[in-house]
Amino acid sequence: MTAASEVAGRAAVVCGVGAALPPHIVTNADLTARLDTTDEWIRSRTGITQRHVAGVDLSTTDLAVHAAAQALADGEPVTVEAVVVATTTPDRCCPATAPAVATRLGLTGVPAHDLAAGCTGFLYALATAAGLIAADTAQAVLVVGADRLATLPDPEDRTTVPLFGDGAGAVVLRRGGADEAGALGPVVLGSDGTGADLIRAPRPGALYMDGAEVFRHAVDRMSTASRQAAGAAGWNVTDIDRLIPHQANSRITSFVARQLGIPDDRRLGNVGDVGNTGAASLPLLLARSAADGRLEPGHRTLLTAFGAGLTWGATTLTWPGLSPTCLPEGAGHDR
Amino acid sequence: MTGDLVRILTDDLKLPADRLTDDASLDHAGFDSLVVVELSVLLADRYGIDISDSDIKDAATLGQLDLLITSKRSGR
Repeated sequence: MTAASEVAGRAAVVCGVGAALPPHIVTNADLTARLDTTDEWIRSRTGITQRHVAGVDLSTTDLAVHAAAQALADGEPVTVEAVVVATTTPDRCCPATAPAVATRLGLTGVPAHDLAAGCTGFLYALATAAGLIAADTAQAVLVVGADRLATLPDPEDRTTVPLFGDGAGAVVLRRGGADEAGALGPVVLGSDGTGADLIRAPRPGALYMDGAEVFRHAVDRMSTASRQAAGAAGWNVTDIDRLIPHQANSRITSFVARQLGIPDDRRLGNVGDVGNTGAASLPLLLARSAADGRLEPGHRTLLTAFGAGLTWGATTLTWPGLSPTCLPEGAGHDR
Repeated sequence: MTGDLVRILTDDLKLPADRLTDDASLDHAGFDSLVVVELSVLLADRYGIDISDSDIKDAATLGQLDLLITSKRSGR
């Protein structure tokens, strides 16, 4: 039997990170050639200059496998005993993505499931994985966020097509101590179904989004969740070295940082190069930032996200000694 | 227009400076639904004043919008 004090000191610890982006890049110039919009409008309103878009030969499952393989190769050697995939754009209604991902990684037999929580999916998956570790179901869990959000807008909709891209990111969580670098702090999550119509896609190619209302909710929910997560971890907001917000729109993340009182040079972003990649957004940014040195071991890091549902969340960790060696293709850095 | 509003519109909301005159309509200045909500959120955050989206949209010109903000800030 495990002593109560040992249980109290347990945590889920991030011990691997990876990412994958489709090689095909769609620039703003590519979009302005066929849609009634301008590069200036897209950049000034969203911060986005390009997005990676998967062809028919690259599925959500493929992206998830590539990101996961990198997280497993570059991190601490662990035996993964469960797989959780967060996605809003699975390759099919049934079966789920995660068992296929597990099998392609040589993990046939482990528990594996998907979850959908819009762009907050990765944070929901982190909490779920931490729960699997706490429940003694697994000693280590692979957590993947993978989406092909570029499939959701109406291809002729100039207001939503520029916003979205495809990609995947992954982390490995293992059982560890709460005082270790990489230990997840409390994960704050929430939802509000009264806002279900604000972002909805009844089928691919038919996305609707109320941009103004989404902006207001996103800023409010991410700011509030961030304060709650920092407080639950025993941090002051001024303690935060790096804010890693969901990459939907640089103006939203700028407002969130401002509301939290976090200086702009502590707010990381890559939306300019990848657009909104849904559940992949946070792990893609973690991998990119760790690789290019903007996220260093010891940085007190706050993650926050907001998405369709409505859903939102935030959590904290002190970044461990992880730096992926192989960068996802074409991923630069901006805010 | 006060310097505060000009700074918000150019620095924070990235509207073109050459269109920001007292008698410019909000449409002419480049306002759309997203700019309206951003301005509302920003005014609440920066000055602690509550100006709804519809109050902002009801301003016929930037000059009127400036007056509305100034009066709210002074508590009138």
